[in-house]
Amino acid sequence: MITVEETTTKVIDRQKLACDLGAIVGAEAVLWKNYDLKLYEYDGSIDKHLPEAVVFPRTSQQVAELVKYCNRERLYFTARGAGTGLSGGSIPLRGGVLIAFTRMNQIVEIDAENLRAVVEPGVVNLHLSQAVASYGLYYVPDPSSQKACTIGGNVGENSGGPHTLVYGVTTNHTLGLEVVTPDGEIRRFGGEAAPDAPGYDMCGLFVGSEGTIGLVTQITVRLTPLPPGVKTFLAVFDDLVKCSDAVSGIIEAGVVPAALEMMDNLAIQAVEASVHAGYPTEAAAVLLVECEGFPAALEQQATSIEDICTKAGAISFKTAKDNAEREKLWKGRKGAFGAVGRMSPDYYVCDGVVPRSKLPEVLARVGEISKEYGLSVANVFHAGDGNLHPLVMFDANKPGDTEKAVKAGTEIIRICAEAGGTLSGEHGIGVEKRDMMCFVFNEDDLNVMRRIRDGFDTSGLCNPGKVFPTPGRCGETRIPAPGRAQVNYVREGMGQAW
Amino acid sequence: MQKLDIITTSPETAEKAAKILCEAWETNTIVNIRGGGTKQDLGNIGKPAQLVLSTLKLDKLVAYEPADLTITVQAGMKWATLRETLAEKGQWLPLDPPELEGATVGGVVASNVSGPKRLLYGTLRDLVIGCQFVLADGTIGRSGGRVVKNVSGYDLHKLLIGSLGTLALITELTFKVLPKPGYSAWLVLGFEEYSKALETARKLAGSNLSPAALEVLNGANWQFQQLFGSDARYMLFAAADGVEVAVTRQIEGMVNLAKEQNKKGLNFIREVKEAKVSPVVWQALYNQSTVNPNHNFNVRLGSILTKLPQSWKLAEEISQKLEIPTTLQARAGTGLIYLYDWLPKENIAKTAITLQAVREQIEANGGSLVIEKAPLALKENLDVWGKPAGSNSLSAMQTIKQQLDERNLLNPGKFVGGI
Repeated sequence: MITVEETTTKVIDRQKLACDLGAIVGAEAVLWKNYDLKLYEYDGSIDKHLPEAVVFPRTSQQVAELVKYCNRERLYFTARGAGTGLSGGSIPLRGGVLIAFTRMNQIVEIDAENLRAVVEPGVVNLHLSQAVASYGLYYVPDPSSQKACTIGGNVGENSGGPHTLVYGVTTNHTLGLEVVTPDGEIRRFGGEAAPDAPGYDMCGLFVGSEGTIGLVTQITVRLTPLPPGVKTFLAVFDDLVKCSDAVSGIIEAGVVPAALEMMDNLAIQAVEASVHAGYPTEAAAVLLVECEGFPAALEQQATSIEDICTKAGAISFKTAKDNAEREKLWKGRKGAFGAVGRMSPDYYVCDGVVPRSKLPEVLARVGEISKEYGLSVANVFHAGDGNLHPLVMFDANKPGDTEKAVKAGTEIIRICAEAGGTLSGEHGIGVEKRDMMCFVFNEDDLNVMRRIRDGFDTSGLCNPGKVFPTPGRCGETRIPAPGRAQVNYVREGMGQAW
Repeated sequence: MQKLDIITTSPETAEKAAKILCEAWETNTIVNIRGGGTKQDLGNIGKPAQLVLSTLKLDKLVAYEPADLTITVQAGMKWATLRETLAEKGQWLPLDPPELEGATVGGVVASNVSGPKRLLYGTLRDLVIGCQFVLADGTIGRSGGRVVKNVSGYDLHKLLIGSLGTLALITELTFKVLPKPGYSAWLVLGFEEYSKALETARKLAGSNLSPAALEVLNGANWQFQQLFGSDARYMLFAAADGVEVAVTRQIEGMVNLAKEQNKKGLNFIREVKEAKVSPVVWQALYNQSTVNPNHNFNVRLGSILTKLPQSWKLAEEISQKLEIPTTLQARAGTGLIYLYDWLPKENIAKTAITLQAVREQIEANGGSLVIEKAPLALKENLDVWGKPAGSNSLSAMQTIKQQLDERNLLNPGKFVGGI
């Protein structure tokens, strides 16, 4: 496992800290003993760092007071949802106070008539869709971790999911935000569902800002009517390139389905070994397609997609006959990361995006990288968006393996950038990809973004060390090894990709 | 008043624009960024510009990959040119703003205009995926990229949408585009009461019939009798886009739902293929702002859907005070009402008072009243924007302005809260 280089330079009296924090949120809402803190030093990525304390506020006022306290005491503070993040966004990289939102988990209001809901940041993504289902509505963004991840975390990372192909990601479904900015002020942004409210699109800025310019304390989200019908099927291919050709074909033909997910052989095998979704294990790749709409139109759309797949070389189709079969097919897709986790002691998830017409060539390059590094790479991803998730498998206990995996991952992301794509489609930059930002942005671009950050985080205490490359470090990826002095990998030719 | 010499300059590249802005920065010159000039009425009066930076020569197509459904253009490209470029490949940018002669892509983005079909396709914040811009001090920056899903870095392009040239010069934009729908149709429903029309629209918006547009118009300036042979006082225009079999089913479903909602009072039903919508009706739906050259006054009311009937009532009150027939158009699935009228000089003081009173009521309901177009005399009396969205939000917006244009040189005073 990886620990990160930054540590707080301040010596902190933890017991006093806990006492002070307890005065704000109550003693039962503070963790400060090493034993407890250990659980909060990591997220779903591979970086980790211990906080000095973890607090569980219940109200926005408490959050504001915590932030003001941190300002007074010059303590770093970092927001955390369920800790399912995949880029280290909630890792307290320089220690300080970790503000965990898991106790702010109330659905404040379901306003079905206005197609909106107001939720606290700790509400679990799936719980909201379940709560509004009886109104014939749902909350669209559906990250694979939706059974665990929180909507506050989704807002921080601007999360996506399989069904965002047509309907858009978190930012497209966020109508209003309550935020505690790094100065400790509680502010509300957006029109709370009244459209075109005057002013800059502050919600647009805050969604996806990875907790670097404020902490979200309440979210007004858009709810969407459930579709009248769904058709889900699996197209099976004996060749990966044929499968990605089919994806390009579907997008180009303009018959964009609600979801278009691809898995390669390794991912299929992992899934079948763990959740038994009924994918053919001998297939080189499968395409999971979901169409939504009226039954008559669904048939038509599904037929066109099947035609395109057949022309691209699909060898068979498997259609979900009922909801149980549909759920089984999705269980395979949504459980894929976990399934790969059973196959390999560790894996490193990449999140690069490429223009959809470049999928075949980029996937081929990913295959080459896997060979070059001698590490297995399973592909399971949002093909319709061109959003790859190569899972680079490694064993952290094997000396040098972690570094190799990160290097291979970086190489994959570089290829995505060179193909005209980007570093991250939905997982965020966090710690993981901050030093790769120069693949897609130059110093000026980054400085403009830094100006925004500095405008809000004037004291530099809010989720430090995230998103932006450490000055002068663009082109390096720092990979400290476990229990040893950190190792610095200087990469060659990490110039701007476009 | 001291007369200022205004210079106009039209750079062809972002680099040249950067050089011009850099010089303006060093000489503390106030700059007005201008595209096609079709939205000059938007915003408060602001400080007079000493330099006009026109984007009209920044008009090139940068990249178009039909297979990827993305397009990148320079900001000064005419909106019509963008539309034609995409149409050649059977695609479109799913935004249907009023068809204003000369409007540029950058201008459309900077003023965040939209049209009836935003109900289905969203607004610019859902369509712009990347941007190149030049700050007031000449720094060239970028955000987003050319792929449809992207969380790398801050979404600065979202800040620029609707910023009215107060934060940066937009030089290049990347959009996600769509294939043109195979089939589009409109359903026209006649109502006696606006509340029924709006209520029906809200039910349609919340149904699984996914209407593409839901527009309610009053008959003030539209002879429904002449157009449709109907004496309905309010018309609801609902659109559906997609494959023919689905659209047919959607329209059918909408008719059924409307009938269910209105056992009485639904006195006209007609379906028409989009291509066959008459030019007059099209004008009514899309070009209210240009349809009557005398209209010098245009107000936008935003509210949540359940408060829309109340806002409509308030809009009618404004109209009654003005004592002339006012065109009202509701984007009834979205929560907007547009009011178009002619405002005589002698009515200005009275109108300002009325608007302020209405604004207070609408803002108390969490909505907004924005004056999109008005005689200068009215703007001198009344802030066109009203309260900024949210609460305790203005200082955060000022922070952004401060960080990007510290010397306050880009369109100062035009935006919300004096920005």
